[in-house]
Formats: sequence, structure tokens, C-alpha cells
Amino acid sequence: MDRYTTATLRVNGQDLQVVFPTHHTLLEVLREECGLTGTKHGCELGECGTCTVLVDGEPVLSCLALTAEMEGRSIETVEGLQDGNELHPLQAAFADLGAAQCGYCTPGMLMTATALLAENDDPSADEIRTALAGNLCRCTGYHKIIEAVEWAAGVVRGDAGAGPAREVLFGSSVPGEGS
Amino acid sequence: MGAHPHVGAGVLRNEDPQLLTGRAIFVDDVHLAGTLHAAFLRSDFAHGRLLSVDTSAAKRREGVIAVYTAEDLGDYWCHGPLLVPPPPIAGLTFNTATLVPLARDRVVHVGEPIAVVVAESRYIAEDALEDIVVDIEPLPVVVGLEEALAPDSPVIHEALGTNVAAHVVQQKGDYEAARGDAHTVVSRKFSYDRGVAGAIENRGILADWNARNEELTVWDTTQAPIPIRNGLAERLGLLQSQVRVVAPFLGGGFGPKMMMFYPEELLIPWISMRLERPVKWIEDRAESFFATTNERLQLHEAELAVDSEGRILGVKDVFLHDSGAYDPYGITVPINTQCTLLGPYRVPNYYSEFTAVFTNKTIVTPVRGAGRQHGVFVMERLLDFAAKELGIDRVEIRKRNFLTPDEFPHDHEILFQDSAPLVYDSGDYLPAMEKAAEMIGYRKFLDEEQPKARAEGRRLGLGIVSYVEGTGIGPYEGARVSVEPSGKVQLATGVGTQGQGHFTTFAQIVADQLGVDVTDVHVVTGDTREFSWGTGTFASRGIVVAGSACHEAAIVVRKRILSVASEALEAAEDDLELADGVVRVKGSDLSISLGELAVRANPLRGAVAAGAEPGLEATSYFGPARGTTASGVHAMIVEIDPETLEVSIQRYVVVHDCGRLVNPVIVDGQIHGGVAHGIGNAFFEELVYDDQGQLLNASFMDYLLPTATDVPHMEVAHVETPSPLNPLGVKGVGEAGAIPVGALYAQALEDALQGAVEIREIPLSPGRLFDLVQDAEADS
Amino acid sequence: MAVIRDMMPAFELFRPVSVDDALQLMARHGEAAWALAGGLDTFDWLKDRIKRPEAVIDLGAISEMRGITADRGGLTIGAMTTLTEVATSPEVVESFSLLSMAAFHVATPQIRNQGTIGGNVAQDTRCWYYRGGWPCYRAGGNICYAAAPKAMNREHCILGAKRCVAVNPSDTAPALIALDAQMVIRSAGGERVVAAEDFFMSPAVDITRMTVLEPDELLTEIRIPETWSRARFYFEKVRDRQSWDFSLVTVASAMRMSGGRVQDARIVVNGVAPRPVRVTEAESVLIGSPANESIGLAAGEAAIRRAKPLRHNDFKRPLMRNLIRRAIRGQEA
Repeated sequence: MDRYTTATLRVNGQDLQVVFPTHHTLLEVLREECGLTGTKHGCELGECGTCTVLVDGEPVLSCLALTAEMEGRSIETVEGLQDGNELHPLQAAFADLGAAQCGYCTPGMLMTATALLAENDDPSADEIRTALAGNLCRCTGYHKIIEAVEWAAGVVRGDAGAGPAREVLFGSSVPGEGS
Repeated sequence: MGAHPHVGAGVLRNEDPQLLTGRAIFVDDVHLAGTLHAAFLRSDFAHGRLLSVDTSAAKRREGVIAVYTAEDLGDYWCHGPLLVPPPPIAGLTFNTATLVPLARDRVVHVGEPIAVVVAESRYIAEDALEDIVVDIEPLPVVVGLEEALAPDSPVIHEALGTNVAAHVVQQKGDYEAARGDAHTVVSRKFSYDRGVAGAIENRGILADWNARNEELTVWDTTQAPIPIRNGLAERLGLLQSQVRVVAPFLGGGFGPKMMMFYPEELLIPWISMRLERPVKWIEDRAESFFATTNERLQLHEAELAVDSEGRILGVKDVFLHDSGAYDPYGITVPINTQCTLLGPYRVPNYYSEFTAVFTNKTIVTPVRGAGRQHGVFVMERLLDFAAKELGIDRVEIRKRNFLTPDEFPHDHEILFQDSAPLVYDSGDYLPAMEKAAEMIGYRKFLDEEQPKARAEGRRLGLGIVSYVEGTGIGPYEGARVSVEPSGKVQLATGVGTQGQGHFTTFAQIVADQLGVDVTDVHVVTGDTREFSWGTGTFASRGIVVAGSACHEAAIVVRKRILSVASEALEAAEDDLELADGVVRVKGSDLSISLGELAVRANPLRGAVAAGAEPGLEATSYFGPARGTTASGVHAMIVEIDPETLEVSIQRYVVVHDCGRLVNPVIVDGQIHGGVAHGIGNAFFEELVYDDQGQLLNASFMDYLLPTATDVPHMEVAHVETPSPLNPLGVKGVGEAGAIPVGALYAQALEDALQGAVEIREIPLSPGRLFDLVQDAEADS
Repeated sequence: MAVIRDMMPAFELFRPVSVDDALQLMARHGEAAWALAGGLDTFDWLKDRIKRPEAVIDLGAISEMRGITADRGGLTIGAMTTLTEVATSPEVVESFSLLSMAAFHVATPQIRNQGTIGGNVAQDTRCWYYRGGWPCYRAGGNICYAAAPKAMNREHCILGAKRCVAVNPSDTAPALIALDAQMVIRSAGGERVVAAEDFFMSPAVDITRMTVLEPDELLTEIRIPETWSRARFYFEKVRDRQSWDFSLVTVASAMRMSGGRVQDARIVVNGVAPRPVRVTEAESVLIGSPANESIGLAAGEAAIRRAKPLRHNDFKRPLMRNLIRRAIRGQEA
């Protein structure tokens, strides 16, 4: 018979009171109890990285973390990345460069990259590859993802010249973001 | 409007704001109150007689609502449809064995479903699976292709009396005569294996039968929502209008999500109707390795006859193809192999014969490339060997055999997978080859870089190969374009979408006709309530077939807009222009917005002319007579560590021709992803079956997909040879990147190993390379 | 065999805050208990429903099992220290970079963030028959599927097989043996210290266990003596995929040079035997000789002399030989 745990989880800066079966993973509780379905599941065994969230700023596989261990720790998911209507520089760069295709690995990719940029705001392409090695993507070949992380790093650093002008890239008006 | 400000530009994707913020709805994100959860009991045995299934203990478990076996399905149990009947090829043998919803007397592959448990939660359902007692008497297992055809082999489908799924011969000219005239004939055996699609989202279905208004809604990770809707209505005895199938955002497709019907797709809606509750099933990763279709091995015996200049006189290829346990998808994969082998070359004489074989393994259906890889590998390798034998440069031998622009349309005189003649619409292969050679620095590499590296003890090798991809086949797709009173445009089409950017590219096409922003075109796709006709997203056809339908519908709406505006503005249509969401009288300030015109076209009062239709709306269909032929050249430089035989890719160049580019950012992305898939295929993706038909590496830990550290930076360039077969001049691109990588890798490795080994197989992990090198050393 | 692997059946979860409490819980629950470190290996087994513990004892809240402290020129590393912490610790990087490299080669960033060094050395084998739930020797049955005549066994043993041909998959284990680490093991009955070299179980002794840990014992810390501090190290892991893959063959070595000759050396390989193997045959060729190419080759050849490849893994012989050559040559570390 299931035993339940009651806990207060700090998710994206908000305290959530949740009751969940004690043996359930953070992934299960985020999706099922917290209604935060932005975090995806791809393998349930720590092999694909799709379920990556940040725990105290570190990328963690939520499918292999017990929720019971999460009390008092800060959890960040893709739903918390943007600031109001303003996309996070990584989200904006992913859009600008077409780094998302089906979008299923994207939440995990964004969270892992967020942690990388927090630690190193000028990563080389190789450092980005190494940091993202635990996040599988089948659509993009990683090419544009790596470019997007490089570009976002420039924005985070405040490099005025980070990346080419949008008009150059797209030859068209840029739609509003984060609507 | 002559100018196309949007088509051809890398505009931002309309779907990204949802996908990048976690708001996009995928099937498993749909939560309905009162949902029950299903889990499938699957066979542990690859082949066996199913003696009994005892579900009584499972039914007694608290929280279990129902358990069904084949027996419980009654009349609903029957063999599924043959999805793709074989083309009408003379002398063809095809033995049909379509799958069943739940195994009844026999199991024929590991993972075949035997029973389904429905419970209050997925957790309870899985616990209850362990309560079911199944008695299976194991039967001898058919694993190898050659063994399957041996006279003493066990037979998988007793009624057929053979493990031959299909036997097909297609030919053109007289190969044997050509062989007699040849200066040189190279013949080899090849083996080419493939693996899973590996979409990061597994399959899933949520069915909700609403008994009060007698409507069934099914959310399904399918690439083909409309055929699923049609099939379900028929099987469940409902009107098509009572069934709504929604393929929302899908986490990748790559082919296997096209397969219809999977047992789960038939059963979950049926269960929802019986229990009058929403029922959800979400596949897990391990399950997907057994229950979702994949692609696998072909064994080829092939020869190439050339004259002294290396010009192709003829090709002969005889191969075996692994169909797996059933063949619901007909012969699509091997016929793609047969047709794609010819490549961009002039092949006057061709003899191709294949035997598709049943084995006790998961069903084979198209996976990104869909058998094209195998054919390209055989042809490109044969050309490499011929070039070597004749002392001709490998780029040169290809150039000598390329079809030239004046040879199009080019009829290969055989039939393609869509039953249409294999006729290439257009192409210009030489410039692509020259461009790729230039980009990779072909001459400089061979003359300077490689010898220099060799002097330093480094093993560098270069590969360069060409291929074509038959894309954009029929039968048809449709689109409905309507301008709403807000001035925004709704565009509905029937194909499902799995990351190809349809929300954007289709919008670009329509935006250009209607003079609106791409963001003002709201694309609805994959919802049968919104659009009722079509087939699906497969065979690199979305932009060609559905995109052309969008274009046609937009043209009709544009005409209606001009007609209504001409009346409203009291100006001739020729004097009007559409831009920025308004119709303007050229050279004046007089204008009216599309929104106002939409209101005018749908009046609440007043007389409407006889025969007029309301609204600014049109539906159009596009059905090409045959497919478009895209093409490309890939080149790579690899370095192989002589002591560990680890291979790293130093450079990767793609020159691709998919006709006119609608959105170059999206096209490049499609190519990048394809190349990555191809790299996995060439290096390490392999489904390891043992002699009992057990798949040993059914996880992403043991079955390796390329990671960010395995895929190189790719340099992509385009040649644009528009297709004459559609108004946009486009060709498909979805599968292209994946197709030539095996052939390319083999050539580059041979080059790096200085011809010490001859490579006739894919995939090639470091371990397998050691074997080849050791064998070669032992031979010499 | 497991076809469905996603949801764990329920278990009782304990989160002790001290080693003593954990040991008491383990003693109380006996065979039904399961010590949970980072969870990477554990949840794999639990989601497969192949291992069914009733009581999971989560060591994550025991702060005394976590951290790296300098200790008389050596280091003491709590078993619950994460692999990221081990890989990036300045003390480890400065004096025992071999261990840092090894930890960095484990899996992925996420797994290094969650996985612990204790869990990494104590993890179970990846043999796909055993992991698939086949009733093999290691699972308490009476056959080794991977050694059967038609078995698929490219990832399996070439050395030290005894009925079972599975290999030890740990990346940090060979580094710890090369560094002559000491494993501190506690039970309710007390503490014992075992050399890393003796920590791993041979199937000839107990075929169902990877380490000498008894069911009521915990690996609490790992002590690295000063002996090999700042020695000449070499670590290389060859795998099919360039990241996020278990090793085909791994070599970890430590060498002390004196007057152009090797004064002392420890060379350890993993991925080739049921436990990490110290290649004494190679060490004896090496000690007293210059670390050059011909000695490297001789040592490599000596190391594989006893190798007995299976049907599909003959490649591990030249690979192991070449990695030992490189370790001696000292290139590429």
C-alpha cells in the first residue's frame, strides 16, 4: 500500500504544498501533483535527460530523484525560465536560431544550458557539447542548440554584438515573443 | 503579387513561444478528470504457442477496473489492415500477415501484447500486470534472414507455409548483356543494419468516449490523424463525424508514428467506449523498443558493370530484407531500397530482386530514410570499388555517371513505393558535387593535408558520396484558408506535425498570398475536427503536398479578397494590392482591412448573389502525379585513432537540393537532424538480438543515440533546382540528411585506413573495426 | 525479462541523518533493505521491478558521509560525495588528478551531479542478460547466458571470468585501485578497512555480488593515502559513444619515475573482467625500465597474455594492450 508524504516544495520561487506517494519521483510529482507538464519524460531511467530540472541550481534528472529529498531545496523548471513576458536569453536564442524542432527535449536542454551559463557565461562550443551530453535530441543534431547557447551566452554577458542582426538572419519582421 | 517576402526567409517559428516555455500540449500532458490508465502485458517469448492467460488475480486487485485478453474482445478481434498494398509489379509475390490487437493462439515477437489492464492509475495497472499468469509453450525462433529461408526453418505464419513475405523483381534493359560488354565487373556482399526512430517522446493515446453526446475524442501520437479517425470510425461502428482524432504537439515522429493501426490505437478507444471513462496509455522507453516499429538488416549481393572509363553499364542487386513478424506496411522499405540505389546516376541496365522475410522480431516499417540508406550504401560502395579497380578518382567516377539536366524528366522504367513510375522530375547533380568538393577542400586534402598527417602518424580520411531521395509523393493533401473578422487568417490542414515547423512554413506560404504577417496566420494541423481529408506526414511530403494545397487555397482566397475589395473600394481588381493586412488602391490612401472585408463577405442582412459563397474562405487539394526527387552530396573528414580505432569527425559538409527553400533555417535543421541520425546509424546504433529473438539492448543506455559530443558542426549549402511538379517548386527534405551517412562513413574510414580494409557493412563501432582490421592483417 | 520499466512499486522510505541510524535500519530490515545513494543504479533496478526491496534507506541526508577532507597528504572522501564534487575538488585535481579524470568520465553532467563516488564503485554490472532479468548465475540461477555459444557478448570479459562473464562498469574504481585507496566499511558491529584492490568481488568467491559489502554493511568513506600524490597519472576510457557510455576498456595508472626509469607503478584496467584488474604482469615489465614505446608494448603484450576472448569481444585484447602502451608512454592524459 502506498504511503504518502506531505511536503512544501519550492518550485520556480513559489512554495507548493503537495501530498504524494512517498516513493514517487520528482518528475512524477511535478507533472502529476504540481501540474507542471513542461518537464517531459523520455525514458524514466536517466538515459535521455529530457526530464532535467534544476535543484539548487544544478541540473538533475527528475526521473531519478525522490521528491521526498526535495524539501527545502530550490527547484526550477522550464515554466519558471521566462520573466513575465520576457523570454530568458536562452529561450530567445533557441527561437532565433531554430534550435527547437519538436520541442520535446527542449525543456531539459534549456534547463541544463541555464545551469551552464550560470557557471560559465563564455563557454566554448566544446564546453557546451560536454555540458549537454546528457540531453538527447533526435531532431536537431544539436547544431543549432549549440549555436543558440553560444549566442545566449553573449546576451547574458551583455555583448552588444552577440550574434548577427535578426534582419540579416531572417529577412523578415520578428514576431512578438512570450505572448 | 510577384514578390515572396516570406517564402525563402528564415522567419521565426510560430510554434516556438509555446514549445520554449513548457506550455505546448503533448499527448501525455492532456489531463481529463476520471481518466483510467492502461498497461499492456507483453510476450517475453519471440515465438510460442499461447496456451492460457489467467487474469483473475489481476482483476481482484484493488483499483483495477478491467482486464482484457484476445478472448474478451469478441468480434472486435480481427487482423488489422494492410496499409500499403504493394505496387502492381509483374510477377510479384506478396504474403500478407497483418497484426492483431492482442495475441490469441500464438506470439510471434517479444513485446507482442497479450492482455491489457485498466486501472485507476498507471501504477496500479503495472502492479496488476504481475498478477497475470501466462502460459506460453516456446516454439523454435526465426532470427536470421538466410536461416528463415532454409527448408528446415520453422514457419512463423503457418497459414502461409513460408517465411517469405514478398519476392519482387524489377528490371530495366538487359543486365546480363551489359555485363557481357563490361570492361570491369565488381561484385560484393553487403550488410546494412538500421535501428529505431528514437523519438524522445514515446507513443501514447488518450481516448475519451462521451456517452452523453456520443462522441469519441482520441489524442494520439500519430503522424496520420485522419486515417486513424477513419479507421476507428469503421471499426467502432461510428460515423466519422462522431470521432475526433487529435495529434497535438508530437515529440518527434521519424516514421514509426505513421504505422496504423498499432494494437494500442485500436484498443484504448474501444476500452473507453466500454467503460465510458477516459483511458490513457503512455508507452515507456523499454516498451517502445519492442512495441514500436523500427528498421533493420538487409543483406545484399550486388555487382556493378562498367566500361573502361568507369561509365555504368548496369547494376545487379539481389537482397534479403527483414520484415519482422508482420508486414502491414507492405514492401515500402525494400522498394525504397530498390529504387534509391540508382541514385543520381545514368544506369541503362538494372536487375534488382529482393526477398522480404518474416522473422520473430518487431515489425519493420519506415524510419527516416526508409530503406533508402541501404540502397545508397550498395551503389556508392560499388562505385568506390570500381573507381579503385580502374584507377579513377572517386569524385570523377561519379561525375561521369551523373544524369545531366537535359535528361530530365528521367524515367528509370521501374515502379516506386507509391506505385507511380520512378521518374525523376528535375535535378542538377554536377554543381552539387563540385561545390561539396570545393567546400571540403577535396584536392588540397588529398594532395597536402592527408599525406602531411600521415607523416605525423595521424590517420585522416575523406569521404564524398551522392544520393537522391524520392520525396513528396501523393495521393493528396488539402488545406482550408479563412480570413477571420479580426483580420487574422486561419489555416487548417490534415497532416500531423512532429517538429518540422509546419506552423511556420505553411503560414509563410499563405502569408505571401494574402499580404499578412506570418504570425497572423494561425495554423491548425493534426485535428480531424478542423480538417477532415488527407493522409499524413511521411515520406518527406509535408511541404510538397500539404504546402502546395495551402498555396492553392490561399490563391483562391486572395481572389475572393480582391473581388470583395474591388466592390468595397470601387476600384478594379488590377488596381489593388495586398500588403500589411489591408487591400489598398495602388498609389492612393484608399484601403480596407482584411478583417472588414471578412465581415462584408459574411453579411447578416441583405441579398446575396446566387451561387456566391460566404466568407473569405477556400479549401483546396493538391495531389501530385508522382513524387519529387531531391538530391545531395555529403562529404566528411574523419580521424581514426590507430590504437583505439575511435573515429572522430573533423568536418562535415552537405550540399543539398530540395528545390526551392521555403524556410532555410528550418531546412537546415531538418538536414542537421538527419545527419545526426545517420551518424548514429553508421557508428553505433544497432538492435542486438540474440538467437532466441530477444532484444538485448532495449534502453537508451545500451542502444546508443548520438549525443552532443558525437555530432560535428555541419557546413550546409544549397543548390536550388525547382520541381516542376508543384506550384512552389519545392521538394521534400525530412529524411535527406540521414540517407548517405553510412556510405560516406565507410568511404572515409577506408581512406583513413589507407585501404587496409574494405568496408561492406554498417554499423561500425570501434570493436567491429578492430575485428575488420585484425581480419585484414591475418589475411595479408 | 522486463519489457515495461517506468514506475516503481511502492516501498517504505527511510531518511536517516547519521551512519549509526542507517546501520540500525539496515540491521533491522536485513535482506528487505536497500541502501540508496545517488539512485542511478538503484532506480534502474526498482523501475525494472527486478529488485524489490521493501525498505529503502536513503543515505542522502547523512552529512557525515559527504565531503572531501585533506588528511596527512592524502584525502578522505565521504562515500556520498557526488561525482561532480570529486571531479572538481581542488584537492583532488591538484594531488590526485587521476581520480578527478575518472570521475569526470562518468556518464553525464546530471548523473555526476546526482551520482556518488560510493555508488559508482558499488554499482552493479551492466551485463545485458543480467540487467534484462534473465535468471543467470549472478541472479541466482544456474547458467551464464552471455557465455553461451551463440551469445552476444562484445561488452563482456576477457579476463578473470568464473562462470559469470560480466564486467565491472565503474570508472572511478580503477583509479582508486591505482591510488591504493582504502575503503572504510561500517556495520552495526563495527568498522573494517579494505584496500580498494580487494573491495571488488570475484565471481569465484561470490557470484551474486560486485563488492565485498555484506547486506548489513555500508561503504562510508574512501581514504586516499599520500603515496601516489602528484604521481604521473594516465586515464583513458574507450567507449562506443564519445560521452555517456560505459567503457569497453578503461585504463588508470600511476607511476613514479626516478632517473629516467620507472621506480614504481600501478596499472589498473576495467571493463575487461568481473572486477577491476591490477595488471601486475605489465607493472613487473615496467618497474626499473624506462617508460618508452618498446617497454610499453612489452607490458601491453604481457597484460593480455592470459586473456580469453569470447565470441564477440576479441577486440578488447588489442584495445587493452594499446591502452596500456599509452599509459606507459604517457600520451593523451
